[in-house]
Amino acid sequence: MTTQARPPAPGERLLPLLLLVPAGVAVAEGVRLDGLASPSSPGAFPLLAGAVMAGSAVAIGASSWLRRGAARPVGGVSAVLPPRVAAVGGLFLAALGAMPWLGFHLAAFLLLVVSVRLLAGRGWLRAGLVAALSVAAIHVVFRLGFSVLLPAGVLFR
Amino acid sequence: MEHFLLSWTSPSLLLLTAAGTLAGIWIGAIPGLSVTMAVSILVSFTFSWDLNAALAVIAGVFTGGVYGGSRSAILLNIPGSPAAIATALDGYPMARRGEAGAAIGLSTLASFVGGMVGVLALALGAPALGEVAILFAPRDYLLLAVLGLLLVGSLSGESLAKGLFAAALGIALGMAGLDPMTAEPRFSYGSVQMLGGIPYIAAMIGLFGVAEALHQLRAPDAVRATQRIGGIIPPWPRLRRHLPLALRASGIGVGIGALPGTGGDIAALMAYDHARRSTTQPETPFGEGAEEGVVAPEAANNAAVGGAYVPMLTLGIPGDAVTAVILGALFVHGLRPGPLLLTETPHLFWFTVGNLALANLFLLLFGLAGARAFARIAEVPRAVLIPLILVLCSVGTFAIRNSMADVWWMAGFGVAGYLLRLYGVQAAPIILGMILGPLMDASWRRTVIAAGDSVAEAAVEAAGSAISLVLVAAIALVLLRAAMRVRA
Repeated sequence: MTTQARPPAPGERLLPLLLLVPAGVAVAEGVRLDGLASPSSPGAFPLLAGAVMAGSAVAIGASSWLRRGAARPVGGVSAVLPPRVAAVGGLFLAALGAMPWLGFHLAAFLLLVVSVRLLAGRGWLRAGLVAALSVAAIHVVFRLGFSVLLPAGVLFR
Repeated sequence: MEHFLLSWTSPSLLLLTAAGTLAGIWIGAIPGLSVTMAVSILVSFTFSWDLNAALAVIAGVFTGGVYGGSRSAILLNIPGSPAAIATALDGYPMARRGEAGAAIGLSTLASFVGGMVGVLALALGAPALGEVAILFAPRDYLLLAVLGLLLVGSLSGESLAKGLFAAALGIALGMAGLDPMTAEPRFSYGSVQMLGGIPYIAAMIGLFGVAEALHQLRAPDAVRATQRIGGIIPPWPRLRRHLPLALRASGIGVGIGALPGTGGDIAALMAYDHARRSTTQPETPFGEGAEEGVVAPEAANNAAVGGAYVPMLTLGIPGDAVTAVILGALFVHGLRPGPLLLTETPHLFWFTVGNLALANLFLLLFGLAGARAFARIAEVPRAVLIPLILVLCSVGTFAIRNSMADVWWMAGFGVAGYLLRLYGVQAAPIILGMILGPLMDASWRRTVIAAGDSVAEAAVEAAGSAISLVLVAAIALVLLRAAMRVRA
């Protein structure tokens, strides 16, 4: 469980540098809140958390450096973000962005239609049917059954 | 007794427990959909419910989900959950041999035995631990939380450093908002919205729901199950032969499940290892379809459910990622799990015990009666399932506070969780850190203030406490093991 079983992902050598960013943010917040002045100040624990993050990032970097050349990263950007992950992820974010305007039902329907069509590779009619049934089921179970509020839109409620 | 039987005698609670267990088995049987994901999404819908109703559904999903993972492990050689990895080692060869029905029957009965042993351990162990927990000083809670995070960090990811980073990141995220002691804003950067902190339920849904759904898109669709399902209920002599192993494995499951930070997956692997060592002459060799290889992990992973509830209810420390989510839900419902829970709200404890026992009965019923129907579940196409999960994630997150800001938090954590997982940084320590962070911060400051604002004095005081010394020794042991693994 602690062995490096997977091949390195593209950009893995840069990961420690990226991890140092949140570590730096936590350390800076800890210092701002007197973390260095008193161990019981509001900044003490953020400082400690930041220090652990920074130490871990350095350890990850050192481990990555020691294993350099052992295995080369597989693939490029598409290995990190394969087309169907990028497409569905993008559609999901677009649907969330559209929800305040279109409302939940229409935004979810559009997300489902396009995603199902894209992933299953079957006809639009079939995808539309699956999407309509899914949104209807969600409405019945959650809105009517559990009385859960669903996001309303400015254009369509 | 009245509270123990409450969910057995109330038609609505009975129905909710049954529905939760059925949904858990269904979700658990789908490769890639974890119990943590199911519980994360589900708890958000229960915040407006009566507490008992919410607990009934959650217990059912947890129990059913851990068991459901064995279905796809046996039929497709794809574990439905990490807790079913060990089951696939011998369950799938059994199915290939034409004994899929027997493997499902054995896994169901072993899960039931394990589940009931877990419930018994909860009923007997939690009150005893609760009495000890009253003696805990703030520093002991801090040490216990550190131990839990170290265990999760070292066991759930590919390296201790990545686990520690995730846990510390979670702690920092959990401290965002107003400091509860001085009301000083932390990590808010002038944003009024950030003063309320980061909604950890939204983070959970993002990290366990969205991130996992996106990861599932990286894998091809499940193949159709072609195994024939024959006789399901094994003959009594065979059951009697496996019962001692099931009970021993259940003991392992309870013990591992009760350790903060460990869960059913580790319990199942340890029980499998125990079965391999203790069964000197199996009818079929291990790895080629040994029945013991199905019985032991299945008993252990379901026993771990009851075990995981023990530290959650008595100490307020989650046993694993699922109990971390449940703990978060209990906080939202206004409860403070910890040593006083059993004395202040014993009815809630006994309701949970009774409800888990009921969920195990439903597991037995649905597991045996629906063996053939559940075989089809693993074949649900990802093309429909994944977009639907994303939609449900947004519904669940919006339901928490009817806020689109929470939905964006969820999406942000989802994308970050997807990327972090790709680089071997797991989500479980982040969530545990977010939940335990405020508790650790408060415990640390109380300890230091009580010692005159001196860390050295606090350390001297800890050296004079047996509980603290045991916890420090456990932390040192975990670190030592991790260091030895690195050297190996």
